[in-house]
Amino acid sequence: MSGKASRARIVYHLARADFLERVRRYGFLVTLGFAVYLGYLGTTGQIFLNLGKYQAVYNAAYVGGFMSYVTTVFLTLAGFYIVKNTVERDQKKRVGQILAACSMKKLDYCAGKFVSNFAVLCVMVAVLAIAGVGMYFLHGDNSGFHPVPLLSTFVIFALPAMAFTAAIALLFETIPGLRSGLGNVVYFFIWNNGHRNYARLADFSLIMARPRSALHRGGFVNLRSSCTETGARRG
Amino acid sequence: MQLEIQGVSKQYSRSTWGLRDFTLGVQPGVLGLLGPNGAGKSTLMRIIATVTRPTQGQVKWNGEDILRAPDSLRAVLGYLPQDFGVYPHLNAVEFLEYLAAVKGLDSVSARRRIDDLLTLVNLSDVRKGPLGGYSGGMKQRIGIARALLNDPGVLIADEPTAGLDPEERVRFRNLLSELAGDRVVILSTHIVSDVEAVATDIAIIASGRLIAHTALESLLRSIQVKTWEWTIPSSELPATRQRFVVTSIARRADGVQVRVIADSQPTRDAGAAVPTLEDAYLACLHAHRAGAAA
Repeated sequence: MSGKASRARIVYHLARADFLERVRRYGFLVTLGFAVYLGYLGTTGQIFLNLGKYQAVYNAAYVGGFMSYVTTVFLTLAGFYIVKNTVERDQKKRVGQILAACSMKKLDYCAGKFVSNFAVLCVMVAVLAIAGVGMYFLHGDNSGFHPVPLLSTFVIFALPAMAFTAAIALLFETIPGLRSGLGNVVYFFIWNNGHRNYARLADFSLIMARPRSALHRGGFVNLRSSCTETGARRG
Repeated sequence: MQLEIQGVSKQYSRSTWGLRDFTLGVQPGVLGLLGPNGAGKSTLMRIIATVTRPTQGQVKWNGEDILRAPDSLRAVLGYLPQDFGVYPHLNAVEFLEYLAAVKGLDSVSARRRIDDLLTLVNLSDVRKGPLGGYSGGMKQRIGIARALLNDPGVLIADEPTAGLDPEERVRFRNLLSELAGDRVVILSTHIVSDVEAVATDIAIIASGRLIAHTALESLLRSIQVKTWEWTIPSSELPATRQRFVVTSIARRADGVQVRVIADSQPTRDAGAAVPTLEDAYLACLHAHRAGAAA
């Protein structure tokens, strides 16, 4: 056989096959639908950030920050359970024994699975980023649309969190005691502790749900003034 | 090219052995591995394919221990397991592209090879359809194409014709015959006619042990004057079964035609028959069981 495939080619094809197999499943569409719904809740102001003594100003930076925070909180939890089945699938589908008879390195296999996990989560981040843009146009201030501050927060906050989630989901699948239900419980506690620290780090408090009636009273309108660089001002 | 299996045992639990002290040398050509269900055929296939590690013993490919350095065999291995799976949401081309990359083929070679193999297994027309919509036989043909992706020097096929219709079975047998030559092909099955059609050597395995390894012709010669055929009334069938090793029966208008293995002429009516591999296989198994019971 002419030519030797590089390790990068193996990782690419492994990730591609795994990614396509996942995103063509009905379950993925349901999850994506939930992500779209979450974006809708943010866009319509039904979930918002409780900033304590600060009030939100709906500029691009705030919308980006808010949506990336929602994305990160949601996908570091739900995303873990969504992607934590990639090795298990190979076992259940009996593809694993075919792979075991190949000279592929374990590291390449893990890298391919990690990339696939990450790509699946990135699709959901992209959906929520688009929702963020929609949110800005619906509720944003008059300072003009600035895509860089809006989208950069997804790159800075959400994507590293997705990489972490993708990696830890794979790690849990490779540790015998954490593969099953125990791993799911352990991760929930890790997530619960971790996202609180993340909220402090990002200078956010908890996400709050706002009753729809508050929107009808024009709650957003009162927040639109005196933009600051961070998208929030003292109340 | 030589594959040597030396004293291989596989213990699953304290009292359960998949293989016991199994020794076999395999040369280029088609080796038909025959044995009843649970004999240890799949365990042996998995050990040779480097998927399972034996509890004891060595497997050598061209003198190199594949338990220590499996990549030397994996590079030339085509493995078709009995119960392999597919990604149901990928189409045939995507799935084969994926496994071609894992097998180390570059993209140009892979594309060309996939086209050829899909034509060979008669799946070109459905190449873009999701594998989840394929029938069992079509999935089996995808497995055959997958096992041949790297033009293997060693092909291990575990029950490869299960699920294939008669036409596809003949097609696959012909393919195996063409592939043999300077390759090592191990065909494990309990369908004796498949082995009879393509194998040059036969290995019979029972209870995890090798009970015969010989050329097809010598195996047939061993029962040359021991195969008999005659017709009896249906009512005598149970008694005949108890007295002789009955290898086949056929209902006829005047009774039941029985075919038995016996050292001497069983009755005056019995005539010598041309032995088949099935006769030889059943005779071997019977001798093994009788020896084990004694």
